[in-house]
Amino acid sequence: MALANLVVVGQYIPMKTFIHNMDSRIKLTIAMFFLIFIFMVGGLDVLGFLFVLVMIFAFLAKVPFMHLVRGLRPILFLILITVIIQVFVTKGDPAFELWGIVVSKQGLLYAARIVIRLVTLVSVSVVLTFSTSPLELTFAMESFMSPLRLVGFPVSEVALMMSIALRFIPTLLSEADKIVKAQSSRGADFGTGGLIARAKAFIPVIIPLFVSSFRRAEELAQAMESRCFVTGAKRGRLHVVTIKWYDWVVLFVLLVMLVALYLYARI
Amino acid sequence: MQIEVKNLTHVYDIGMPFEYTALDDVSVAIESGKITGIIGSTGSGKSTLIQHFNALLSPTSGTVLVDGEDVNEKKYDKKILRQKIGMVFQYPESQLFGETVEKDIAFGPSKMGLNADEIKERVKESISLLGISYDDYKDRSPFNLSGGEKRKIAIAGILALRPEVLVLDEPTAGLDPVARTNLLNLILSYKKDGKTLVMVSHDMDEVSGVADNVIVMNQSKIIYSGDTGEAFSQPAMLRSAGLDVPMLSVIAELLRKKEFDIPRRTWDAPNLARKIVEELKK
Repeated sequence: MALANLVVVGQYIPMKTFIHNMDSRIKLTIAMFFLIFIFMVGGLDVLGFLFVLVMIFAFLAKVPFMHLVRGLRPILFLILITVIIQVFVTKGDPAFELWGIVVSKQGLLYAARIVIRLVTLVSVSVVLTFSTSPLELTFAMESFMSPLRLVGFPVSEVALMMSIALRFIPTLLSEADKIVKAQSSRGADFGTGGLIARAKAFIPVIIPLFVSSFRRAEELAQAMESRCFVTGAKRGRLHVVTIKWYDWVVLFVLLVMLVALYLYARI
Repeated sequence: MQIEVKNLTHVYDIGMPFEYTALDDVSVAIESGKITGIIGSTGSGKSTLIQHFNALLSPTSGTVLVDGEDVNEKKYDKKILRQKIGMVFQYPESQLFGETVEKDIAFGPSKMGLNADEIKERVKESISLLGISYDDYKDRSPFNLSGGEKRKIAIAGILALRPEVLVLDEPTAGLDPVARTNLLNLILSYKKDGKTLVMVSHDMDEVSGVADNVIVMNQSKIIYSGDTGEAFSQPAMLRSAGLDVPMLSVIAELLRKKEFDIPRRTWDAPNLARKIVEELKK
C-alpha cells in the first residue's frame, strides 16, 4: 500500500467528466502543445495564465486537490534546489539581502518562472493520466506513430508492449508490497543501514519479483496465443473511437488561445 | 502470547476516490494455546486483520495489544514482535529467493543474529517438522521443487524463527489432498507444543475440523467470535456472512446426536467415512 501510493502520475481514475470523455488523441495533442508552450513563453503573466488554464482542466476533470499535490511531491526536491540556486546565484539589481548574500530581482523572477513551469508541467501530466486510461493513451500514441509503419516500424507491437507494461505496474507494485511484508515478517529490515546495506536488503524482494514477473509473462503469452494472437497480424478494435465535434472545438479554442498568448508575449 | 485488538479500524487509500474501509471498529482477543480460524467471504477484512497482529499495517484508529503492550508505539520493537508472531502469507512460495533450500530457510534465523551452528540447527529442525529430508533437499534450488514442496520450504522459513504464534493465511489453498492433510496435521502438532495458531481459511470443513475457536467476519466487521462448534450450529449467522455450513460438520453433528462417536477433528470425507464404518462395526 505504501509502495502503491508513490506512483501518482500515471494513475487513472475512471469517471464520467467532460475531460474523461474527450478523445485521447486530442487530449494528448493538447498536452503536448501545453508542454511546448510552457518553454516558449517566459513572462510571468503568460506562464500564470497557462497554469490557470491547466487548473481549469484539472477542475473539469474533477482531479482531487490532494492528488495534484501528491503528484508534485516527487519533484519537490528538484524545485527547491533550482529555486535556491537561481535565487542566490543570479546577479542583477539587488532586491534584499539574506545572510549576507544579495538576492537579485532577476534571481527571484527566474526562480518564480521555474516553479510555475515545473508545477504546470507535472499538473498537465497528472490531469492527462488521471482522465485517460492507459489503454486510450497507448491508442493515441499508436495513431501518432502510425506513419512509421511505412518504414517497417512495428507500431502495433510497440503500442501493445507499452500497454502491457502500463497494465502491470499496479500488479507488480502490489506484489512487491506483499513480498516486502512477507520478508519483513522473516526479519528483513529495509529502513536502516548504509546505502549498500539497504540495496542488499532488497535482494529478497527483487528475486521473487523477477521470478513472478517471468511467470506472469509466460502465462500472459500463453493466454494471448490461446486467444489467437499472432505477432504482426492486423488487429481489429472492440471500441471504435471517433473524434467528436466538441473535441475539435476544445482543440481549436485552445490553439487560438495559445497562439494569441504567444503573440501577446512577443509584443 | 496474548493478542488483543481493540476498536481497530483500517482504511485503505484515505482521501482517494477508491478509499476503502477494510476493518470497521473491530475488537477481538486471540486465545493462547488454541487454534483460531478466521472465516468470511473475500473482501471481508480477514487478511487486513491478521496483518495487524505483527504490525505489518498500522491502524487508522484503535490499538493492537500483544501481551498488553501497544505494538504501534514508537519504541516497540517490531522486529522482535515479528519473530514471536510468525506470519505465513497466502501462497508463501512466492517469497522464496535463496539459491538453495538451506539458505532460504536460514534467512530468518540469520536476521536474528544467531551463530552458524544455531542457524543450521533451526533449519534442520523446521524442515523436518514439515516432513522433508534435510540432507536430500538442503542443496537444491527452491525454484526447482514442486508446488507443494515449495510451500513447505516457505513455511519452514517461518517456523525457523520458532514463533510462539503462527498466523497462516489460506495455507492449504491450491494444495492436493495429501499435502493438505499433511499441513493440517502439522498445524495440529504445532498446537500440541503449546503454541497459538491463527488460520484464515475458505474451507469450512477444514476450519470446523481443526479450529478450537472461530472468528466470523462480514463486511469489515466481526459478527461472531467464540467456540467453533457453537459457530457451526448457527447456520443463519454463517449464511448472513455469505458462508455455508460445512456439509461434513452437519453430517457429523447429526451422527453425534445418534450417539456415534465422531471426533471433532474430522475435516475430510474419507476420514469421516472411515469413522462411520468403524462405528457401524461396533
